[in-house]
Amino acid sequence: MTTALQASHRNVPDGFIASLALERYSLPIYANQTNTGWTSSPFHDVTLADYELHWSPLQVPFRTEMAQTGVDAPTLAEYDVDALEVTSTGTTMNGSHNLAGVWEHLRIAAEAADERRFIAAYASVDWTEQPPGAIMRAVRLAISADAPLAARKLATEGAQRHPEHAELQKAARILTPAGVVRSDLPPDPNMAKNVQWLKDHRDQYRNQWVAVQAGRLLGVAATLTALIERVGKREDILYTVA
Amino acid sequence: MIMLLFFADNGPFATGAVQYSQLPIGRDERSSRLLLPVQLEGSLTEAILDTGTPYVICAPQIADAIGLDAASALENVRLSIRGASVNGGLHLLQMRIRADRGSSLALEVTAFVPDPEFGEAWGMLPSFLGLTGCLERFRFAVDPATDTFYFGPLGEHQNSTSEQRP
Repeated sequence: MTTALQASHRNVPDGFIASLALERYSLPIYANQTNTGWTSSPFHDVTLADYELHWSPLQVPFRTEMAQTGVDAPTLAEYDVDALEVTSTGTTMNGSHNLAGVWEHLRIAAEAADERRFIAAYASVDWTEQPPGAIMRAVRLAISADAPLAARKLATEGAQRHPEHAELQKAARILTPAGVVRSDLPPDPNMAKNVQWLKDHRDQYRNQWVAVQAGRLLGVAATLTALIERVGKREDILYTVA
Repeated sequence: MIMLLFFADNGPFATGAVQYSQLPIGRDERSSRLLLPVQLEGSLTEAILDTGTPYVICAPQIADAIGLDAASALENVRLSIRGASVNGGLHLLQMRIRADRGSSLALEVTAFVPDPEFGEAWGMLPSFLGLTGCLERFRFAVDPATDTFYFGPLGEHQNSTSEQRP
């Protein structure tokens, strides 16, 4: 059975998109405001009687979206929670198009650092249809799922579609580093001397922080902080664990 | 620019080289890992070459010495590192590979920095240089016979064959 959630509301600004959740099972539902109310994405094989329904308006994505509308973050009381209605469309849908089920797969994949499972679920969603808060959530899950290329694609494409979303802009920038910015910098012959010192003497100082400069030991300490206090902080000193 | 490794058509593959060390890392690890000297922001340190890891994983003590700005980071991300789930933030870092021959390389890389509470659990592990957001951004080759790490910018060259000139 496929079921859709609908909730009537009041005092909600135009264009508002909220993140709501069935907290008992942590199934997120991304709801879009329409002229007739909030309409969630459908979810699959859920018996609503099994759930305790809670609107969760104080979740971070909710606050983020509200902040972008220029409206103060709402409290639960501002919404007509009593008028929440749960209706079933009675329509069967393919599980692969079941958004709540997909989010559950993404979450499980993230917890297990399972890139393959994440990619399979991620590929079943049309991300151009998703609000920026949902895309940002998927970026974080992709990072946790050890799917860095999916995280980058989600962030860069989401940032292009939502230039107003500051966190997506930041994520896209961080996940797409410039790479090589200079390739004509002079060599540092002391590097070979430092590495040679480590090869020759590392065993004498195992599991201690050492400071080496131009192939000479400057100091030893249990922590890097203590070592820097002892020998100072300079860019030509190599600090490492022996 | 000194070119140390060339494609078959004489196009440049590597423009710099640096010596590395080999060392087993951690209490239970017996196989050696490649430890490369790199400069992360202003701190010269060693990092493990790890193509199985995404991003640069910055050791908490090095991150503390660098003094990163949390406001510019993507906070509250979670990464699986050596089988453990670690919370932290993603940063853009300036990294430099200082050549002992040829030219040094300056890069902007994506770096994961564990939250401070993971510092104790991290112990004496060094930083890691991962593939996505770091190693994917330049060409590199390893010569285990001489413990030499060769590197160079990606450039436009598409030839997949490389060879070393005498």
